[in-house]
Amino acid sequence: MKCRTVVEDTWKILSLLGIDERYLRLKWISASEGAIFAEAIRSFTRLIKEMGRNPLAGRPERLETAG
Amino acid sequence: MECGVCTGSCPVSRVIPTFSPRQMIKRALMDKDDTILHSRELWACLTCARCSVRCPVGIDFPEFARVYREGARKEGNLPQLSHQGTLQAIMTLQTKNIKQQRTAWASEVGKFKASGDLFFFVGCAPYFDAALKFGNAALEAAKSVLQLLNRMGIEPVMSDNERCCGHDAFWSGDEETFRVLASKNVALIRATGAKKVLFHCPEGYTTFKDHVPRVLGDLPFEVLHVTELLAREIPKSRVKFVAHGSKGATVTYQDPCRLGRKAGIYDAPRDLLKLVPDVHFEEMGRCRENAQCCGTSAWIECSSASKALQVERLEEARETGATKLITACPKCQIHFNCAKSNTDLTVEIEDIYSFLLDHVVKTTGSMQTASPGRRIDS
Repeated sequence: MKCRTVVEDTWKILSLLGIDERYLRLKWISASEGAIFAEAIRSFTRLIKEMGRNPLAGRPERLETAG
Repeated sequence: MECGVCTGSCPVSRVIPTFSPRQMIKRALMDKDDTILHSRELWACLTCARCSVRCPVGIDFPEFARVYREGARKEGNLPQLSHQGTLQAIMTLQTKNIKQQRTAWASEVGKFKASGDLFFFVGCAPYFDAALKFGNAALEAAKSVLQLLNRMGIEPVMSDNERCCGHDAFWSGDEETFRVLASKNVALIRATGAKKVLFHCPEGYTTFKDHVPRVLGDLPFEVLHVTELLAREIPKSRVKFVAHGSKGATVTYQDPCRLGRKAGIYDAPRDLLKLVPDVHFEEMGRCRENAQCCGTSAWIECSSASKALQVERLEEARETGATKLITACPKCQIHFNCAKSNTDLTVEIEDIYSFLLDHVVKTTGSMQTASPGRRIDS
Protein backbone atom coordinates (compact mmCIF):
# COMPACT_ATOMS: atom_id res chain seq x y z
CA MET A 1 0.00 0.00 0.00
CA LYS A 2 2.96 2.28 -0.65
CA CYS A 3 0.97 4.01 -3.38
CA ARG A 4 -1.87 4.82 -0.99
CA THR A 5 0.59 6.28 1.53
CA VAL A 6 2.27 8.44 -1.09
CA VAL A 7 -1.05 9.73 -2.40
CA GLU A 8 -2.34 10.39 1.12
CA ASP A 9 0.83 12.37 1.89
CA THR A 10 0.40 14.32 -1.32
CA TRP A 11 -3.19 15.16 -0.31
CA LYS A 12 -1.82 16.48 2.98
CA ILE A 13 0.72 18.64 1.15
CA LEU A 14 -1.90 19.92 -1.30
CA SER A 15 -4.14 20.84 1.59
CA LEU A 16 -1.33 22.76 3.32
CA LEU A 17 -0.59 24.58 0.07
CA GLY A 18 -4.27 25.45 -0.23
CA ILE A 19 -4.69 23.50 -3.48
CA ASP A 20 -8.01 21.63 -3.88
CA GLU A 21 -7.26 17.99 -3.02
CA ARG A 22 -9.81 16.82 -5.58
CA TYR A 23 -7.27 17.53 -8.32
CA LEU A 24 -5.64 14.26 -7.26
CA ARG A 25 -7.71 11.10 -7.27
CA LEU A 26 -6.80 7.53 -6.36
CA LYS A 27 -8.81 4.50 -7.44
CA TRP A 28 -7.99 0.83 -7.92
CA ILE A 29 -9.43 -0.56 -11.15
CA SER A 30 -8.64 -3.97 -12.55
CA ALA A 31 -7.57 -4.43 -16.19
CA SER A 32 -10.84 -6.31 -16.78
CA GLU A 33 -12.99 -3.41 -15.56
CA GLY A 34 -12.91 -1.29 -18.71
CA ALA A 35 -16.33 0.25 -18.17
CA ILE A 36 -15.53 1.23 -14.60
CA PHE A 37 -12.25 2.78 -15.72
CA ALA A 38 -14.00 4.77 -18.46
CA GLU A 39 -16.64 6.04 -16.05
CA ALA A 40 -14.00 6.97 -13.46
CA ILE A 41 -12.10 9.02 -16.02
CA ARG A 42 -15.30 10.65 -17.32
CA SER A 43 -16.41 11.68 -13.87
CA PHE A 44 -12.90 12.94 -13.03
CA THR A 45 -12.82 14.98 -16.24
CA ARG A 46 -16.25 16.45 -15.43
CA LEU A 47 -15.07 17.39 -11.97
CA ILE A 48 -11.83 18.96 -13.25
CA LYS A 49 -13.85 21.02 -15.75
CA GLU A 50 -16.18 22.17 -12.99
CA MET A 51 -13.28 23.14 -10.72
CA GLY A 52 -11.65 25.06 -13.54
CA ARG A 53 -8.06 25.63 -14.34
CA ASN A 54 -5.29 24.77 -11.89
CA PRO A 55 -4.83 28.03 -9.97
CA LEU A 56 -1.06 27.61 -10.22
CA ALA A 57 -0.95 27.20 -13.99
CA GLY A 58 1.10 29.94 -15.59
CA ARG A 59 -0.89 30.78 -18.70
CA PRO A 60 -4.57 30.28 -19.55
CA GLU A 61 -5.33 27.03 -21.35
CA ARG A 62 -8.70 25.76 -22.50
CA LEU A 63 -9.77 22.30 -21.53
CA GLU A 64 -11.26 20.61 -24.58
CA THR A 65 -11.25 17.03 -23.37
CA ALA A 66 -14.24 14.97 -24.44
CA GLY A 67 -16.38 13.44 -21.75
CA MET B 1 45.59 28.83 1.64
CA GLU B 2 48.38 26.29 1.68
CA CYS B 3 47.70 25.25 5.26
CA GLY B 4 44.77 22.96 4.46
CA VAL B 5 42.94 23.62 7.74
CA CYS B 6 39.71 23.65 5.72
CA THR B 7 40.18 20.17 4.32
CA GLY B 8 41.49 18.91 7.65
CA SER B 9 38.36 20.24 9.38
CA CYS B 10 35.88 19.09 6.77
CA PRO B 11 33.61 16.22 7.88
CA VAL B 12 32.95 15.25 4.25
CA SER B 13 36.69 15.06 3.44
CA ARG B 14 37.13 12.62 6.28
CA VAL B 15 34.61 10.23 4.74
CA ILE B 16 35.35 10.98 1.07
CA PRO B 17 39.10 11.66 0.93
CA THR B 18 38.94 13.02 -2.63
CA PHE B 19 36.75 15.91 -1.50
CA SER B 20 38.99 18.83 -0.66
CA PRO B 21 37.84 22.41 -0.06
CA ARG B 22 41.46 23.61 -0.35
CA GLN B 23 41.89 21.99 -3.76
CA MET B 24 38.58 23.42 -4.92
CA ILE B 25 39.55 26.97 -4.03
CA LYS B 26 42.90 26.48 -5.72
CA ARG B 27 41.27 25.09 -8.82
CA ALA B 28 38.85 28.01 -8.95
CA LEU B 29 41.78 30.44 -8.83
CA MET B 30 44.03 28.67 -11.32
CA ASP B 31 41.58 27.10 -13.70
CA LYS B 32 40.60 29.37 -16.55
CA ASP B 33 37.94 26.96 -17.83
CA ASP B 34 35.91 26.95 -14.65
CA THR B 35 35.82 23.15 -14.53
CA ILE B 36 34.62 23.54 -10.97
CA LEU B 37 31.23 24.63 -12.32
CA HIS B 38 30.83 21.21 -13.88
CA SER B 39 32.09 19.21 -10.92
CA ARG B 40 29.92 17.01 -8.70
CA GLU B 41 31.97 17.94 -5.62
CA LEU B 42 30.53 21.41 -5.66
CA TRP B 43 27.29 19.89 -4.34
CA ALA B 44 28.95 17.70 -1.70
CA CYS B 45 29.78 20.59 0.65
CA LEU B 46 27.40 20.63 3.65
CA THR B 47 27.96 24.39 4.08
CA CYS B 48 28.40 23.52 7.77
CA ALA B 49 31.09 26.20 8.21
CA ARG B 50 33.46 24.03 10.23
CA CYS B 51 36.20 25.08 7.79
CA SER B 52 35.40 28.77 7.63
CA VAL B 53 35.31 29.36 11.40
CA ARG B 54 38.82 27.93 11.59
CA CYS B 55 40.34 29.44 8.46
CA PRO B 56 43.34 31.60 9.46
CA VAL B 57 42.84 33.92 6.48
CA GLY B 58 39.06 34.11 6.69
CA ILE B 59 38.06 32.24 3.54
CA ASP B 60 34.33 31.62 3.64
CA PHE B 61 34.17 28.28 1.85
CA PRO B 62 30.40 27.76 2.23
CA GLU B 63 29.83 31.13 0.56
CA PHE B 64 32.35 30.18 -2.14
CA ALA B 65 30.41 26.96 -2.79
CA ARG B 66 27.10 28.84 -2.84
CA VAL B 67 28.26 31.39 -5.38
CA TYR B 68 29.70 28.70 -7.64
CA ARG B 69 26.46 26.74 -7.29
CA GLU B 70 24.61 29.67 -8.85
CA GLY B 71 26.98 29.42 -11.80
CA ALA B 72 26.76 25.63 -11.94
CA ARG B 73 22.97 25.82 -12.21
CA LYS B 74 23.28 28.04 -15.27
CA GLU B 75 25.62 25.44 -16.79
CA GLY B 76 23.08 22.69 -16.14
CA ASN B 77 25.04 21.14 -13.27
CA LEU B 78 22.28 20.42 -10.77
CA PRO B 79 22.25 18.79 -7.34
CA GLN B 80 20.84 15.36 -6.57
CA LEU B 81 17.52 16.06 -4.85
CA SER B 82 16.61 14.04 -1.77
CA HIS B 83 13.08 12.69 -1.20
CA GLN B 84 12.33 12.74 -4.95
CA GLY B 85 12.50 16.52 -4.98
CA THR B 86 9.24 16.84 -2.99
CA LEU B 87 10.66 19.52 -0.72
CA GLN B 88 12.00 21.56 -3.63
CA ALA B 89 8.59 21.33 -5.34
CA ILE B 90 6.94 22.60 -2.17
CA MET B 91 9.41 25.51 -1.99
CA THR B 92 8.82 26.46 -5.62
CA LEU B 93 5.02 26.26 -5.27
CA GLN B 94 5.26 28.72 -2.40
CA THR B 95 6.63 31.37 -4.75
CA LYS B 96 3.20 31.36 -6.48
CA ASN B 97 0.04 33.10 -5.41
CA ILE B 98 -1.45 30.42 -3.22
CA LYS B 99 -3.62 30.54 -0.14
CA GLN B 100 -2.01 28.12 2.28
CA GLN B 101 -3.57 26.48 5.33
CA ARG B 102 -0.48 25.95 7.42
CA THR B 103 -1.56 26.97 10.91
CA ALA B 104 -4.33 24.40 11.46
CA TRP B 105 -2.12 22.53 13.95
CA ALA B 106 -1.64 25.68 16.04
CA SER B 107 -5.28 26.33 16.86
CA GLU B 108 -5.39 22.84 18.38
CA VAL B 109 -2.63 23.51 20.91
CA GLY B 110 -2.45 27.16 21.72
CA LYS B 111 -3.36 30.77 21.17
CA PHE B 112 -2.07 33.13 18.53
CA LYS B 113 -3.30 36.24 16.75
CA ALA B 114 -3.29 37.95 13.36
CA SER B 115 -1.42 41.12 14.26
CA GLY B 116 0.84 42.30 17.03
CA ASP B 117 4.45 42.96 17.98
CA LEU B 118 5.89 39.46 17.94
CA PHE B 119 5.65 37.25 14.85
CA PHE B 120 6.34 33.53 15.25
CA PHE B 121 7.83 32.28 11.97
CA VAL B 122 7.11 28.57 12.05
CA GLY B 123 8.94 27.57 8.89
CA CYS B 124 8.38 24.41 6.91
CA ALA B 125 7.66 22.04 9.82
CA PRO B 126 4.04 21.35 8.74
CA TYR B 127 5.32 20.31 5.32
CA PHE B 128 8.17 18.19 6.68
CA ASP B 129 5.79 16.04 8.63
CA ALA B 130 3.51 15.54 5.64
CA ALA B 131 6.33 14.84 3.19
CA LEU B 132 8.70 12.74 5.31
CA LYS B 133 8.22 9.54 7.24
CA PHE B 134 9.67 10.39 10.60
CA GLY B 135 6.61 10.95 12.70
CA ASN B 136 5.54 14.42 13.67
CA ALA B 137 8.89 15.42 15.06
CA ALA B 138 9.16 18.75 13.26
CA LEU B 139 5.68 19.90 14.16
CA GLU B 140 6.03 18.80 17.78
CA ALA B 141 8.82 21.36 18.17
CA ALA B 142 6.62 24.15 16.79
CA LYS B 143 3.71 23.06 19.00
CA SER B 144 5.97 23.08 22.03
CA VAL B 145 7.28 26.57 21.22
CA LEU B 146 3.74 27.92 20.96
CA GLN B 147 2.72 26.30 24.24
CA LEU B 148 5.82 27.55 26.04
CA LEU B 149 5.17 31.07 24.75
CA ASN B 150 1.53 30.88 25.83
CA ARG B 151 2.59 29.70 29.27
CA MET B 152 4.84 32.73 29.54
CA GLY B 153 1.83 34.88 28.73
CA ILE B 154 2.93 35.58 25.15
CA GLU B 155 0.46 35.26 22.31
CA PRO B 156 2.45 35.50 19.08
CA VAL B 157 1.31 36.44 15.58
CA MET B 158 1.17 33.54 13.13
CA SER B 159 0.06 33.43 9.54
CA ASP B 160 -1.29 30.95 7.01
CA ASN B 161 0.44 32.94 4.31
CA GLU B 162 3.96 32.53 5.62
CA ARG B 163 6.27 31.12 2.93
CA CYS B 164 9.34 28.94 3.00
CA CYS B 165 12.25 31.05 4.29
CA GLY B 166 14.27 30.24 1.15
CA HIS B 167 17.27 28.88 3.05
CA ASP B 168 17.55 25.76 0.93
CA ALA B 169 17.02 27.56 -2.37
CA PHE B 170 19.69 30.07 -1.35
CA TRP B 171 22.28 27.44 -0.45
CA SER B 172 21.45 25.44 -3.56
CA GLY B 173 22.39 28.43 -5.69
CA ASP B 174 18.79 29.26 -6.64
CA GLU B 175 18.81 32.93 -5.80
CA GLU B 176 15.74 33.73 -7.88
CA THR B 177 13.46 31.48 -5.81
CA PHE B 178 15.09 32.81 -2.64
CA ARG B 179 14.39 36.42 -3.61
CA VAL B 180 10.71 35.80 -4.37
CA LEU B 181 10.18 33.93 -1.10
CA ALA B 182 12.06 36.53 0.92
CA SER B 183 10.10 39.48 -0.51
CA LYS B 184 6.76 37.74 0.06
CA ASN B 185 7.70 36.94 3.66
CA VAL B 186 8.96 40.43 4.44
CA ALA B 187 5.78 41.98 2.96
CA LEU B 188 3.63 39.60 5.02
CA ILE B 189 5.45 40.29 8.29
CA ARG B 190 5.42 44.03 7.65
CA ALA B 191 1.64 43.89 7.13
CA THR B 192 1.12 42.32 10.57
CA GLY B 193 2.92 45.24 12.17
CA ALA B 194 5.36 42.96 13.97
CA LYS B 195 8.52 44.54 15.38
CA LYS B 196 10.20 41.27 16.30
CA VAL B 197 10.23 37.98 14.46
CA LEU B 198 10.81 34.81 16.38
CA PHE B 199 12.33 31.70 14.78
CA HIS B 200 12.77 28.26 16.29
CA CYS B 201 14.32 26.83 13.12
CA PRO B 202 17.99 27.89 12.99
CA GLU B 203 17.89 28.00 9.20
CA GLY B 204 15.06 30.51 9.06
CA TYR B 205 16.82 32.52 11.73
CA THR B 206 20.17 32.86 9.96
CA THR B 207 18.44 33.36 6.62
CA PHE B 208 16.55 36.38 7.92
CA LYS B 209 19.45 37.62 9.99
CA ASP B 210 22.19 37.40 7.37
CA HIS B 211 20.89 36.67 3.90
CA VAL B 212 17.54 38.40 3.49
CA PRO B 213 18.99 41.84 4.36
CA ARG B 214 21.69 41.20 1.77
CA VAL B 215 19.14 41.08 -1.05
CA LEU B 216 16.35 43.27 0.33
CA GLY B 217 18.24 45.76 2.50
CA ASP B 218 17.56 46.50 6.17
CA LEU B 219 14.50 44.75 7.53
CA PRO B 220 11.68 46.63 9.27
CA PHE B 221 11.84 44.19 12.21
CA GLU B 222 14.26 42.55 14.61
CA VAL B 223 15.12 38.87 14.26
CA LEU B 224 15.20 36.70 17.37
CA HIS B 225 15.82 33.02 18.06
CA VAL B 226 13.43 31.24 20.43
CA THR B 227 16.30 29.92 22.59
CA GLU B 228 17.55 33.48 23.12
CA LEU B 229 14.11 34.68 24.14
CA LEU B 230 13.41 31.69 26.40
CA ALA B 231 16.83 31.76 28.07
CA ARG B 232 16.31 35.43 28.89
CA GLU B 233 12.63 35.38 29.85
CA ILE B 234 11.87 31.97 31.37
CA PRO B 235 13.90 32.54 34.55
CA LYS B 236 11.85 35.72 35.13
CA SER B 237 8.54 34.07 34.29
CA ARG B 238 6.15 31.85 36.24
CA VAL B 239 7.29 28.81 34.23
CA LYS B 240 9.19 26.37 36.42
CA PHE B 241 10.65 22.95 35.65
CA VAL B 242 10.72 19.56 37.32
CA ALA B 243 12.57 16.37 36.30
CA HIS B 244 9.49 14.10 36.13
CA GLY B 245 10.55 10.76 34.62
CA SER B 246 13.94 12.10 33.53
CA LYS B 247 15.28 12.25 37.10
CA GLY B 248 18.94 11.27 37.08
CA ALA B 249 19.02 10.91 33.29
CA THR B 250 21.84 12.24 31.15
CA VAL B 251 21.19 14.34 28.06
CA THR B 252 23.52 15.78 25.46
CA TYR B 253 23.11 18.53 22.90
CA GLN B 254 23.74 18.76 19.16
CA ASP B 255 24.74 22.26 18.04
CA PRO B 256 22.97 22.88 14.72
CA CYS B 257 25.43 24.41 12.24
CA ARG B 258 23.19 27.41 11.58
CA LEU B 259 22.54 28.17 15.23
CA GLY B 260 26.09 27.50 16.41
CA ARG B 261 28.81 28.35 13.93
CA LYS B 262 26.64 30.61 11.77
CA ALA B 263 24.76 32.54 14.46
CA GLY B 264 27.09 32.05 17.43
CA ILE B 265 24.27 30.90 19.74
CA TYR B 266 25.87 28.24 21.92
CA ASP B 267 24.97 29.19 25.48
CA ALA B 268 21.24 29.89 25.31
CA PRO B 269 20.20 26.28 24.55
CA ARG B 270 22.61 24.95 27.18
CA ASP B 271 21.30 27.43 29.77
CA LEU B 272 17.78 26.25 28.99
CA LEU B 273 18.65 22.57 29.40
CA LYS B 274 20.22 23.33 32.75
CA LEU B 275 16.94 24.84 33.97
CA VAL B 276 15.52 21.33 34.30
CA PRO B 277 16.62 20.10 37.73
CA ASP B 278 18.07 16.63 38.41
CA VAL B 279 18.93 16.08 34.75
CA HIS B 280 22.61 15.71 34.01
CA PHE B 281 23.95 17.55 30.98
CA GLU B 282 26.99 16.06 29.29
CA GLU B 283 28.84 17.54 26.30
CA MET B 284 29.89 15.41 23.38
CA GLY B 285 33.61 15.44 22.56
CA ARG B 286 33.03 17.65 19.55
CA CYS B 287 30.74 20.47 20.60
CA ARG B 288 30.12 24.18 20.10
CA GLU B 289 32.42 25.48 17.27
CA ASN B 290 33.72 21.95 16.73
CA ALA B 291 30.34 20.24 16.57
CA GLN B 292 29.73 17.91 13.70
CA CYS B 293 26.97 18.60 11.20
CA CYS B 294 23.99 16.24 11.01
CA GLY B 295 25.21 15.10 7.61
CA THR B 296 23.03 16.75 4.96
CA SER B 297 21.71 20.18 4.16
CA ALA B 298 19.15 21.78 1.86
CA TRP B 299 17.58 18.39 1.04
CA ILE B 300 20.27 17.65 -1.51
CA GLU B 301 23.03 15.10 -1.96
CA CYS B 302 22.14 12.69 0.81
CA SER B 303 24.84 10.05 0.42
CA SER B 304 26.69 7.26 2.15
CA ALA B 305 28.89 10.03 3.57
CA SER B 306 25.82 11.59 5.18
CA LYS B 307 24.84 8.29 6.75
CA ALA B 308 28.40 7.65 7.99
CA LEU B 309 28.54 11.10 9.63
CA GLN B 310 25.12 10.68 11.22
CA VAL B 311 25.83 7.27 12.70
CA GLU B 312 29.22 8.48 13.94
CA ARG B 313 27.52 11.40 15.66
CA LEU B 314 24.86 9.20 17.24
CA GLU B 315 27.60 6.96 18.60
CA GLU B 316 29.35 10.00 19.99
CA ALA B 317 26.12 10.90 21.76
CA ARG B 318 25.85 7.39 23.18
CA GLU B 319 29.41 7.57 24.49
CA THR B 320 28.42 10.45 26.76
CA GLY B 321 26.01 8.07 28.48
CA ALA B 322 23.08 10.19 27.35
CA THR B 323 19.69 8.66 26.81
CA LYS B 324 18.60 11.71 24.86
CA LEU B 325 20.27 13.71 22.13
CA ILE B 326 18.63 17.13 22.22
CA THR B 327 18.79 19.41 19.24
CA ALA B 328 17.35 22.79 18.29
CA CYS B 329 16.96 22.13 14.56
CA PRO B 330 14.12 20.20 12.92
CA LYS B 331 16.45 18.96 10.19
CA CYS B 332 19.05 17.58 12.61
CA GLN B 333 16.20 15.74 14.25
CA ILE B 334 14.89 14.29 10.99
CA HIS B 335 18.36 13.31 9.75
CA PHE B 336 19.38 11.61 12.97
CA ASN B 337 16.09 9.75 13.20
CA CYS B 338 16.55 8.53 9.65
CA ALA B 339 20.09 7.31 10.33
CA LYS B 340 19.06 5.77 13.65
CA SER B 341 16.36 3.66 11.99
CA ASN B 342 19.11 1.55 10.35
CA THR B 343 21.04 0.93 13.56
CA ASP B 344 20.42 -0.65 16.94
CA LEU B 345 21.25 2.60 18.76
CA THR B 346 18.73 3.50 21.41
CA VAL B 347 19.57 7.15 22.06
CA GLU B 348 16.40 9.16 21.71
CA ILE B 349 16.42 12.30 19.57
CA GLU B 350 14.29 15.14 20.84
CA ASP B 351 13.91 18.83 20.16
CA ILE B 352 14.79 21.18 22.96
CA TYR B 353 11.33 22.77 23.10
CA SER B 354 9.45 19.51 23.58
CA PHE B 355 12.02 18.49 26.18
CA LEU B 356 11.41 21.73 28.08
CA LEU B 357 7.64 21.54 27.76
CA ASP B 358 7.61 17.95 29.02
CA HIS B 359 9.35 19.12 32.17
CA VAL B 360 7.26 22.14 32.98
CA VAL B 361 5.78 22.05 36.47
CA LYS B 362 2.13 21.15 36.14
CA THR B 363 -0.03 23.44 38.18
CA THR B 364 -3.71 23.44 38.95
CA GLY B 365 -6.22 25.97 37.76
CA SER B 366 -5.72 27.67 34.46
CA MET B 367 -2.34 26.05 33.77
CA GLN B 368 -3.04 22.59 32.55
CA THR B 369 -0.78 19.71 31.61
CA ALA B 370 1.25 20.10 28.50
CA SER B 371 -0.22 17.27 26.53
CA PRO B 372 -0.50 18.05 22.83
CA GLY B 373 -3.92 18.87 21.50
CA ARG B 374 -4.97 20.74 24.59
CA ARG B 375 -5.65 24.40 24.83
CA ILE B 376 -3.68 26.05 27.55
CA ASP B 377 -3.92 29.24 29.55
CA SER B 378 -7.55 29.48 28.57
